[in-house]
Amino acid sequence: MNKYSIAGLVVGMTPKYETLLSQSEKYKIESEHKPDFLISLDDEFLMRKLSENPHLSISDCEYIWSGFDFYKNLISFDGMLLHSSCVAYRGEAYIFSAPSGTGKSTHTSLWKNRFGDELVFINDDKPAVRFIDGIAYACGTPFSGKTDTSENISAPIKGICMLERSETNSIARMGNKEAVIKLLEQTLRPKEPELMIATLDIVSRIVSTVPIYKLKCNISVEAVEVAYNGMNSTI
Amino acid sequence: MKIKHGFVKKKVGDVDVVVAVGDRSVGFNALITLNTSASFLWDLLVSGATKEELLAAMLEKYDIDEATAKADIIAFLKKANDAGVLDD
Repeated sequence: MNKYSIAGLVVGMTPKYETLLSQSEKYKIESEHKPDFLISLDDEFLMRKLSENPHLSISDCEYIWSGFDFYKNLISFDGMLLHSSCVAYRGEAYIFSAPSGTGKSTHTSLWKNRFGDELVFINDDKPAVRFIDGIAYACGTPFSGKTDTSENISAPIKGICMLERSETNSIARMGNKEAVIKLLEQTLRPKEPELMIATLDIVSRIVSTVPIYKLKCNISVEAVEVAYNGMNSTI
Repeated sequence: MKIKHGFVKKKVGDVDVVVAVGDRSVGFNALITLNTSASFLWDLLVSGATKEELLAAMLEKYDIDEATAKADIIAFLKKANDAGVLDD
């Protein structure tokens, strides 16, 4: 079994296929530390997923369901998946969440153009949000959806934007009720009651410690300026 | 009337949220948010109550007139029924 350092946890797993092998390579560690948890999918499970999803390869199946397994385990360690594109700039994480197809990655690619080498993609689709010593961090994980853009880094979260397409650019703080609903829509909702309750606890901690915004934006440099300034203003 | 099994209510931030768990979550992906009085009614309906019992409890708990309490109850029951969370 290999060991990996992901989101500040030691994870044991034995990848067999190409996607997970290559995606997890930069998270691999040599450690005597006992794993916090194991991800282990047996062949029978993978073959069943493969037959249920004929458009996927066995390598896709291992990668996708290892990701589900990781994020489900993460819930017991004060962390959860947030479906979003997440970047780090000058030591702080900026998160842009929205349903698939809205333009999260399009928006963060504009940040890359604007800020260049100082901007790092933590995870372009599925970062972890994890509380460590009471602070909410965005963490890179090998599980980054259809792109392979992730880095094994963590940064305290500056703000979370719920992104919507619009002709013009604007940003405003979001009310708690809407923020709670949007966060729950963009994370895993486990069917196990105790994990669901733990997820609700994490969402509760996020809304009480991290500013959450509604960002309406088009595809322009101005959209980046509005988002950045909005999340860095003191009001 | 009674809330079906398989729903969890929890305060998230300052919002009361209901989600489905267990087998219930397979066919029920929605989230329900409840205001203060709806949350109070929900708790009563977890163990089961009649409309009359709900009304009496509302009048006891809140300083409101009967018409307002009835309107709140009707609105809540409609929302709960539409969401499919109530057993008759």
